[in-house]
Amino acid sequence: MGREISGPEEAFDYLFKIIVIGDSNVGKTCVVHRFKSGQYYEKQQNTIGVDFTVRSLEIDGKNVKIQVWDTAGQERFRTITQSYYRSAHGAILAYDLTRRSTFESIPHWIHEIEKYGAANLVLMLIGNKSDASENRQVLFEDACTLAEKHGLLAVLETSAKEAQNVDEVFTLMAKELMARNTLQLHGGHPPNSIYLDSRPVIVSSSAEKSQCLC
Amino acid sequence: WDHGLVLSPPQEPLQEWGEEVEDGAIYSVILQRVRAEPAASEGSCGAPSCPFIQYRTCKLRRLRAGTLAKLVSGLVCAETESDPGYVPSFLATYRTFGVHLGDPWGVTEIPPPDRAVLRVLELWLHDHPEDFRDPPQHPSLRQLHGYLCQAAPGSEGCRWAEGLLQSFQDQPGGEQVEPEGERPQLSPPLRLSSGYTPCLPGPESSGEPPDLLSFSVEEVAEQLTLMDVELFVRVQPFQCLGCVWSHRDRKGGRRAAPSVRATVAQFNAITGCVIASVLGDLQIHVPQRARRLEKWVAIAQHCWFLRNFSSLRAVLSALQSSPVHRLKRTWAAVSRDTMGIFQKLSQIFSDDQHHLSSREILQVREGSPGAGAVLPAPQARPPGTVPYLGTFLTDLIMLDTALPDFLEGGLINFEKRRKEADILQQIRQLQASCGDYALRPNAPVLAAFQHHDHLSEEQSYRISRLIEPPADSCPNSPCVRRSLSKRFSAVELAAGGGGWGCWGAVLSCSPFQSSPPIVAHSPPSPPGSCWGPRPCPPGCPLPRAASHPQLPLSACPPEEPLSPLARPPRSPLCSQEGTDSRVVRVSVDNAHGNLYKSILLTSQDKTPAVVLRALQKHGLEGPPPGDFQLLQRLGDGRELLIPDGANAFYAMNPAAAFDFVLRRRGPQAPPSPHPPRSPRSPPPWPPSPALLPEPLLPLPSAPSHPPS
Repeated sequence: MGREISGPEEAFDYLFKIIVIGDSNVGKTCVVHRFKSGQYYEKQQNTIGVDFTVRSLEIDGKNVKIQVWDTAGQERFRTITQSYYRSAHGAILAYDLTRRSTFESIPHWIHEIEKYGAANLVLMLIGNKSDASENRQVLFEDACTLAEKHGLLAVLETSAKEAQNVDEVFTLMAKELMARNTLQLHGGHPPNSIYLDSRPVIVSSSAEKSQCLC
Repeated sequence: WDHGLVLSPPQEPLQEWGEEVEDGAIYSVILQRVRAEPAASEGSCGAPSCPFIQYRTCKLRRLRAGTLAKLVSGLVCAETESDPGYVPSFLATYRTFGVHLGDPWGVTEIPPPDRAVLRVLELWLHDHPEDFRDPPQHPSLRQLHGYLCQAAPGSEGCRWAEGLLQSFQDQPGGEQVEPEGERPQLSPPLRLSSGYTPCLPGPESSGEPPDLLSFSVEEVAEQLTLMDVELFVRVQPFQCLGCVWSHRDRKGGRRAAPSVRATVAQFNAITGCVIASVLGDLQIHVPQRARRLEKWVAIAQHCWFLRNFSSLRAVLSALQSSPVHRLKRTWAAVSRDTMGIFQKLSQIFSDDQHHLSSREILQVREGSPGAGAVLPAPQARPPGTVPYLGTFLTDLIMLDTALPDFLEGGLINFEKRRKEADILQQIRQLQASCGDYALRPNAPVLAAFQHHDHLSEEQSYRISRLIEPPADSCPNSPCVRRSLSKRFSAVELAAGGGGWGCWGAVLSCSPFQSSPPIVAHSPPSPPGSCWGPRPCPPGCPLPRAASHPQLPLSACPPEEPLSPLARPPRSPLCSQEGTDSRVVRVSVDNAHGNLYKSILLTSQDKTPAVVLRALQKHGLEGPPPGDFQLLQRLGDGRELLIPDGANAFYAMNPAAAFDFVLRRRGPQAPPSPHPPRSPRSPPPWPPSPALLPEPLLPLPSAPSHPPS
């Protein structure tokens, strides 16, 4: 069950998987790119990919690894994202605040997650392209109302272009997940052993198995 | 790359040497070590007996960025001889920087029939024939053909142009080969049905084609591969580029990238088939359904043998889709061998290290491929490889996002195009490999595929829950959970006086809050308080949720409207468990005073301890806690000073919001300015936002396969 997640890389205290979803062209990849500030890796001569999906953060003295799943370009392959939903710890719902239609799709994306995601997925809403607010079509208040209605963790307006609020999105998500996860570990283990075996993702896998997948 | 004009890939550069900037162009300069050929005794040196090897270092320039004019002239300049990737990269990506085929030759002076020009034209015709399709007259191709016949009669390029013109004209009505719309439209024997009526369990009428799964594993996998090959070789690599594919849903983009859309549609048709064939019949029992799963896994495995990663991925992804994945009892009845194969196959597409395993498999042409160690190797190695296109599409979109189109001075960033062209080149190589598949259409299988039932997502979801109903007792089903959620909204908190209005954040704390919001490193729970970890026996889904379904936080604003869904009535924090602790929000009154932290206040807490804890939470460990006083905000600008010696828990006003501020003693700090709240000015985000942690829910694990 426990998949090899990180390879022989540096140790980490937490690993969180976060999926970024939303209509195409709302700037999901730009946000992820901003977060990681894209690097190229050229593994073999003809294997080129862009690596901006994993980043380590230090939060409260812990090394937190955030793996961002960006399925940009694969939105139309219908079933592909479903398995990502299931394994993600958090989901970032993105809309483009200059295009109302992308905001109006958000309930659809929330519905998707409710159907397919783990029950305790942390959801956040981000309105991207806040640098272009002269063309704004979505008021921040509307986003707040929506977030409240659906019980989301937070709403932020971001500008991937100007690197505004992007790190905060992921930090906020990571802190929330840490808080939950720490509490959970408290629940399952004697307090002193919290971090001894601290790969929460794996630790929790046995418990998850027995949960209902409804 | 089977074209004779292209040189072998350059050797590893010896040294990056820097950059040279010319008018309208930037070159990267590398020093490369090359074997010096002894002039006299050519041929003898490659032999093992060669007594003498000499290297020399030469300087190479690669065009990295330039004006359009520079890039075009770079096609035929002598320097590109040493830069074999230049011309192919240009031809593969030129449309992204605004060169349009149409009149490249006509208006300007006709270039002399120089070898370099011919070479470029030949390569263009050979590698990108679709660029010249312009029905009904194909004027550019005619013009080019005329030019080549005049300038280089009898040349290879001339023959190619002629052949291409002929083949375009032979196609009826100059019709575009690429299908339009969502469903792939294949040549008649392969044509897929465009509309289907989802049908719930129903007896097969005699006139209908047989069930797809009544055919052998090999037959189904081969026909899936046949269709995939046909679509994949028609993919125009250019349409995979991030800037093309990512605009597919824009206005006017509806017709964009039809050749890519067709592969996606085929992928979705396969997943639809798999899901419907597993779920479609409500009458069948668990063992029969399990046999269907086994058969699909076997088909997936055979796709793997055929190196058809597209159908492989489609079948796996259907089996992993929620409606199928959640059928635990059915999966439990699947044989262990099949589960093992399924897991191994799923690992091919594991997202670890950017789908490294699937990428490597695409590269590997010899030896046993990644999962081959466990999966039985195919009898005869298939000739080609059909990739799952989605990985390329994502790579290309990421590449497009990561690199700017233009560099400073408006120069076209050609380095970006080279990287994109590298990926397109991989696609082209794989397409070339597909020419060697020798699969023959099997009409009954294709018909069964075409006429297979499909279910909408909603239907699949519903049927799946009919087959194996969700555990109703499970309280963490999403709707319950969401409806019980409690949130803070920025709007409402703004009224609380914490300067929240300028935040742009809505924080929420969700249901089942047997613990008040404490972030990770909170003090241990005092005995008897409502906070504290409780052992959760594995397998018990949220026991706390049932027993304490509603514990709204005191900080929730009183005027919070009830959502249409059932919302528990507000009650004082932890009222059901005792009144000896509560969560309070503490901000620091300083220049950026809009940041608050939640801390747990217990009935044991004296004011200095609260101040200390709040300072620690704020990361302000420098100033002595004695410098600060603790005040409760009562609204209307009024504040209640909590005396230093007091028990803060009892000193506070329980009727007001649990909203506190730490303020330095001495000269009164000026009230922090509260910028007007405006949706047009995106609010700054505080460096370390307060967090209200969520309840003790187990995090999901990452099962890449159904529970066995």
